[in-house]
Amino acid sequence: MPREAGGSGRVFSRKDTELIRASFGPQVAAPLDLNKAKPEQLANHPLIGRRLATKLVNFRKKTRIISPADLYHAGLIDYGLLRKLESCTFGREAIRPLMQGIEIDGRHLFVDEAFALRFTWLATAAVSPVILSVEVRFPSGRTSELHVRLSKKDIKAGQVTLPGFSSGESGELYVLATLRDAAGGVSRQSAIFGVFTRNPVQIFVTPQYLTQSGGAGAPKYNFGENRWYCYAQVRWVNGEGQSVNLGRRVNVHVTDAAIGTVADFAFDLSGDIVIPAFSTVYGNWYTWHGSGGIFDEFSAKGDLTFRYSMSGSGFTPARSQVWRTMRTIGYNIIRVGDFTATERSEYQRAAEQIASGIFRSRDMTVYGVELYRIEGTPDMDADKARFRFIDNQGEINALRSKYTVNNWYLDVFFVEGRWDGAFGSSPVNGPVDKQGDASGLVLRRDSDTVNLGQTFAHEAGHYLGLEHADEDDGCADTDPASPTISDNFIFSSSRRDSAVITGCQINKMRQHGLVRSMTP
Amino acid sequence: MAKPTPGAKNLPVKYPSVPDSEAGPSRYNEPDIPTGVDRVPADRFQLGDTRADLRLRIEQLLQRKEAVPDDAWAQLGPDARDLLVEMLDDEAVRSREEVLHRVISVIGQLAVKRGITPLSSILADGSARNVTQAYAANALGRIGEPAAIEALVAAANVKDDMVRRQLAIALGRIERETVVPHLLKLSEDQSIAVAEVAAEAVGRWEQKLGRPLGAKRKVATTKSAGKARAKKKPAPEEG
Repeated sequence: MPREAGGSGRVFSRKDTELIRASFGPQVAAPLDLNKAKPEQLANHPLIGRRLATKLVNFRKKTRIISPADLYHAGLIDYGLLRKLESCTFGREAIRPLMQGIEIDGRHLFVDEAFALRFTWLATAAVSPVILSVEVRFPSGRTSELHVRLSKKDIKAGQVTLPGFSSGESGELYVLATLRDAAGGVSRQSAIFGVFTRNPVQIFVTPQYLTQSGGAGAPKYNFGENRWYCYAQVRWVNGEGQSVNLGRRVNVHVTDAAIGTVADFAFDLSGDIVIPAFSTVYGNWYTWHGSGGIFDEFSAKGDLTFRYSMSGSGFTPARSQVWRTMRTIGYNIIRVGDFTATERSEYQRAAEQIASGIFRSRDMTVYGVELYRIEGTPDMDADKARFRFIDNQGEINALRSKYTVNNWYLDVFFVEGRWDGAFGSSPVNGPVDKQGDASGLVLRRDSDTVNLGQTFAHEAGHYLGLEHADEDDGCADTDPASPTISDNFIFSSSRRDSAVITGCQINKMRQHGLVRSMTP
Repeated sequence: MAKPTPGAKNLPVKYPSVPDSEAGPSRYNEPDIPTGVDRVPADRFQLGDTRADLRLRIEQLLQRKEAVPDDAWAQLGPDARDLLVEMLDDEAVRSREEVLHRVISVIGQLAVKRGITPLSSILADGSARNVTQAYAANALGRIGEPAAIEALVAAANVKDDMVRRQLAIALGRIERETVVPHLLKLSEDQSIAVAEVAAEAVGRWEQKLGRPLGAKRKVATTKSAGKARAKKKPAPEEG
């Protein structure tokens, strides 16, 4: 008898983990003291390198470096490098206040226990710091931003302590601090801290990749194999002072609120899950369902709760996750310009995963993404040259009126630049037949994949019928659970992490003909 | 007439269904799984009128998804224009290309004359990416001052046709007769995308001056070229 269900998964490589951390936000190190830094520190600095480090060490033997400008005047660096070094190094005195440290009390943070963040900076007589902006990304994926006007006491002390933070989940907590000075300049620094539980070993299962809204996951139907797939990102957290081995077996218990137990099965990962002391390990897994109760429930547009558990080194961590079939949209990414293979895969990820993560909070998901290009024939090559950089609205309309893909996905034209610098634009309530000159989204290059994913969701919201949340759109701007309008995904100044969709907004979008119900 | 559609492209679904409706019972019955609560200090911050606050206001406008109307920038006052130009040299801005591009385009949109020198430097910077140069060229054209002509002309031999097209568009926007020889040269460009916008600009000068301005290559206008391409469709991405 054929198996009804199975699964597989693996632990991420170091490079994968670095990519995840990079997606939290910019990684900005503390500034380097040009007079006191050791030669190895200078040589290892990405902007300095071994050759310049040698020259710099010789230079500082003769004179004390007052500021990086001394290196410029001595002919050691050009103006471009001077500008960069002024943001991350200093001499006898910084030319403007420079963020120097982000610290916590003690070595570790613990779930649901309040903690304070201490921010220190290098003061300078020339310019005073005025505002500290702090962005925090919690292990849950939630991001918060706050601003603090610094008091005279803070400025004199060269530091400020902000109490009142706590994290509801264990994992890695990212902090980005931006110090704003009286001259309009900024200095930034970032840090990552581990958050652990007193019950030390935990598993966290997140459907797909870095969803921002949490909630239920969307199973994907594979027509070729006639199976439902539940793909998830996983992180294992160990707050013990010693390494833990959870083995490779994952047990899955599937329940329905009305039926009770629907299925029990197990699968093996590609290797043992070994979590070093006080650390987080990232990976992924998927389960598949070709027949039986899980297949039937998903095929009937229902939802199920999966409880995953592992066991080893005396620990049995478990995690539950709801999966449900959802309403769907799709994106045709139509490339107009020269993008690297990496950029193209990032654009796909932004649409499939980040935007999808936003929609999933309201049971809608991105069913698929298809890639197209405008190039390859003399005419299309000429259009590529015309529309790689868009100079005016007329060109946007010309582009949209010429090209479309005959499917039910939203057409997203990806250009390299736009005259107005906007991240994207879309008509409100765009045509379902995708005819005419208002028949698609026009987005531009963005190396911040999370922001780009937010743009995919935001502009799709317009196409599917929504005005900005702060404009007269006939919907309440907020929900009781999300009282801050800037958290709304279609707020006019939505942030890279604005992911809230109100009930009114999702109901409006669902009326659009390009939103489908997908069942096999 | 309906737009062209791709050929034998298999759709990814067997049964594209009708738009969803709210009718029918929902089978969603799983209770929400309790999740932890993240907490941050209460934010009592209010924007003031220091230069640091101005920078924050500017960053908030730069963050908007769509284009920001001129009056929103005007409300920030004249200091905002100076600060925008200073931000071109700010490493926090330079390190994020899409923000740098937005700053460049806003300087062009607001026609900030102080921006001509730094934008000219960007245009002349051989290490700058083509798209950054295209932004700089477009912004210089919108500023529209004679001082921008020199930088635009100096970059006219750049290889990338996207940049050359923006140079031609920019020169076409500057109301000085000294641009005409350069537009004539660009109207002979090997790329039709460059030649057509230069030829259009030359045509406008001919109307203005009431005389022909010399031979220029016969190029299809955007409109007629559009008609010629009416059967075209985007090709599926190869990889």
